Amino acid sequence: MASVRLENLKKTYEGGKSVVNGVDVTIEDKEFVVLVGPSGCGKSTTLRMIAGLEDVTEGKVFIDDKAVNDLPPKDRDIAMVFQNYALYPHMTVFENIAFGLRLRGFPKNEIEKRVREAASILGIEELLDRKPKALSGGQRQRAAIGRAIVRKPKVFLFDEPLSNLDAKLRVQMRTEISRLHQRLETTMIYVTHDQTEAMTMGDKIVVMKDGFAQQIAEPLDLYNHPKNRFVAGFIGSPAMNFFEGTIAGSQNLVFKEQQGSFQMPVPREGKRRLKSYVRKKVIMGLRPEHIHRPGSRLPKGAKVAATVQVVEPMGNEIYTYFSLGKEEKQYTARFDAAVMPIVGKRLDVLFDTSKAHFFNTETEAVI
Amino acid sequence: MTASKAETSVLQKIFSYGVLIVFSLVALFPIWQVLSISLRPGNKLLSTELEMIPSGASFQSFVILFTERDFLVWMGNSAFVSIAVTITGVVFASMAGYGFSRFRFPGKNFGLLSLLTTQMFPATMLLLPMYIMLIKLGLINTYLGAVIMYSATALPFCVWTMKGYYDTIPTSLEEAARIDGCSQFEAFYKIILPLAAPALVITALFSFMTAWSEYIVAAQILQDSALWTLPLGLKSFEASMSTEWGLYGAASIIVMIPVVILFLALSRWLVSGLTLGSVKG
Ligand SMILES: Nc1ncnc2c1ncn2[C@@H]1O[C@H](COP(=O)(O)OP(=O)(O)O)[C@@H](O)[C@H]1O
Ligand SMILES: [Mg+2]
Repeated sequence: MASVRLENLKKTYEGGKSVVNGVDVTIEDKEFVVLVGPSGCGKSTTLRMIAGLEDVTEGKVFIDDKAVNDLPPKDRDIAMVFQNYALYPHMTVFENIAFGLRLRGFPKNEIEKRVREAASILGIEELLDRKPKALSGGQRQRAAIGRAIVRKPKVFLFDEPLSNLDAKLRVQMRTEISRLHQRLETTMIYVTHDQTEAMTMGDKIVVMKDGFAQQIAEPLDLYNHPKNRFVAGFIGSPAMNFFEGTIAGSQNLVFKEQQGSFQMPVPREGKRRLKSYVRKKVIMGLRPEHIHRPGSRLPKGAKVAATVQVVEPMGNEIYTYFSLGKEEKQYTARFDAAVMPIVGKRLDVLFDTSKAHFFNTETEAVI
Repeated sequence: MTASKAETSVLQKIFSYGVLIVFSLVALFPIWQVLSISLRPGNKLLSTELEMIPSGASFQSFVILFTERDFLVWMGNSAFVSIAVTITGVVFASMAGYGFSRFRFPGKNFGLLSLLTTQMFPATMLLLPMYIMLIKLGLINTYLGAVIMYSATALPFCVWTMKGYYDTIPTSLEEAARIDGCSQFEAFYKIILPLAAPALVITALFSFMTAWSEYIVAAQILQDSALWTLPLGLKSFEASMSTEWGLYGAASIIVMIPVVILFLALSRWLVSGLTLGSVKG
């Protein structure tokens, strides 16, 4: 039952370090929003300003249309799960979960009921009498989530809650948190540097870099229509390939790779937008899954001569790293697992030109 | 390979135990000496025999101490002053250390360095200026004067100890508490202070010991015999002609006891590592 709105939010730390440079985001009621970006881009700082743990330098934080800039964390009706769990070591799991309720003067039986309920949702009923140090990483994270959900806050904040878990547990907890979101129907704001977590969990994703929100969109929208080169390269794994080159031609535009390794026709949809770029440099982006084996049947394929450098069989598919001409730079393709490409051999790969993205070289914005 | 390893470790053990035993003997010998003096009958005080229990041993000195002298009064005075210093030390150091650990403010580093600097001067050097200061404040012959002096001596170390310990407690614990419903101060005393118990114990012990058996400062400030603390009382056994060594020994043994008890009682808290498991690990 709460929306969160950030209005031109800025943060400058003492010493003049400007970390968040004007973020505008609206998070709807019951929405699961992920803030994602490389380490140091200001995600945690943004989240901590929403929580009230960090003073806002400029701009406003609204929770339910009420400016909360001057409210202390305890009066914002939020809960937060930390990367390092932050369980109180001198209290049992029960006391940890009950702590917030006790402070708020809930009656004893209500506390008991709520703690048991939270524990059963998270499957940690047997651990209630243990101290945090007697728990495994996953159990600690569950206890920390228990402490958050027991108060039934308006907004949940998560700061990289899965980063300290091993890969398998991370995947498991990911679905658990998503399920929790469906069950509790509460607004959640989740910070991570992992684009997979962002893509799988978010209703909406805010991609951040250098203290700016680069793009705010639903996962698939972000994937299919990145607004700039950074977003294009950050979302998707393995990352998108980028080729520098120029646009040539008059009637039918072509993209000519800088080193002359290949040229390919610009898809019809892109012509209108690329017309003003003729004889100018652009960056072309193509995802690994849009580069195919020779002989694949594509409506619009451009044949490109490549040399296979490294192959990584993943079981269901093969990541193939290749180079063009005499270039050092490596590019990635995802092939089906049928035939293993031979390292060092020439391979005529097919670029799916209809899937190409073009970016302005200077602004890096999509064309 | 493994055999030689085992051998060196046995040798190492023998060596380290040997060293420990020698040092323990060195440390214990004077105490045993004092104990033995306190038990000697009056006519054998200056004997140099190395008897464990002197012949004709008696608790005479102890009895005299409690019945014919003001020993209990001195003990009460010492206890009062020491406990006051302990409380002052714990209250101020726990809060000052927290401030130094958690907040940025102008003069923070200067403050920390100044505290450290005070530790570089021997207390006797500060005696005269402090004495003059206390006269001007009218605090000579008051417990307050003594408590201020002792606290001033003990606090720098205590503040540093507390700050160092707080530094090891993750700030996310307080942040979690503040989100859970604590004010900044509640987060401090409900979450951080209990976790800092080992450092609090060291602070308390150190403050207590600073005052309990201190002589030089006490001799300047507490001149009225009604205010005497234990060390001053003990000194009074030293008359111009003869010293009552039996009483002296007995009193010394009793002075030692509370400190030993304190150490034993608090030793469990001196073992830190309480924060283990709160965070990643
Ligand atoms: N208390 C602080 N004082 C000064 N700089 C800080 C402070 N906290 C974080 N920073 C800096 O702000 C930048 C962004 O930090 P943060 O928001 O934690 O990034 P992220 O969570 O995206 O990795 C980093 O360069 C970090 O060093
Ligand atoms: Mg972070």
